[in-house]
Amino acid sequence: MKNKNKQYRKHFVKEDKHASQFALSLNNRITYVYKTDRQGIMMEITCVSLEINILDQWITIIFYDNHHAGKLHRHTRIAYNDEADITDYKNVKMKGSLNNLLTWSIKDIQNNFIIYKRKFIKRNRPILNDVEIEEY
Amino acid sequence: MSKAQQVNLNMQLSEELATFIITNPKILKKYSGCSYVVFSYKNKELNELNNELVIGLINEGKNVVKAIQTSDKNFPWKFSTALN
Repeated sequence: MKNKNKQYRKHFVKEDKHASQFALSLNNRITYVYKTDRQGIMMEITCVSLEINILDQWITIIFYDNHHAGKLHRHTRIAYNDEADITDYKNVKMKGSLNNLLTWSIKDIQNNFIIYKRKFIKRNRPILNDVEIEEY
Repeated sequence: MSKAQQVNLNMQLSEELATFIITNPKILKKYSGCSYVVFSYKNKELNELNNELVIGLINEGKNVVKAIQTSDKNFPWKFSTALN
């Protein structure tokens, strides 16, 4: 019966979701999620996010996505205590296959995560007060 | 305006907006959890691109706020909820 259910499900699933996560350092990590069709062709970059550890909680401070096959764009979290963000295309790669855009997003975060983190912490100093945050 | 100048202006605008919102907690509270999209008072090219972004975000189901830069130093930004 279990096998039958599996086959039934497989027949009707039109896309697969893939999620991965890797550490940049002890307190910084990247999570990326994308969808492919049944042939393995990428259909959507659901999110490529930079998460940082503050007070034993992981929070996303920046992420890329192209929901509903739109252009790749960036969301930058504004404040530590609210999930509101600024969304833009600035310096975001727009041309190329979804595979290339996914790779570009991951590399951008890998190369610039310290800069993104410093900016976030700098503007949130009034909220974070004396909380010590490890850069790495 | 060259492309490099435009990129610099855009980067600066987002930074200015983020700092403004942090220092005005009432705005953060009013538009809690929303996605802000920046509109410049002088860069039409940026605004056209960002109008497309607003539509895309609304279609994603996000609550979108247009942050419109003004030339008034006392009130550098005005905010409005973007509707479908």
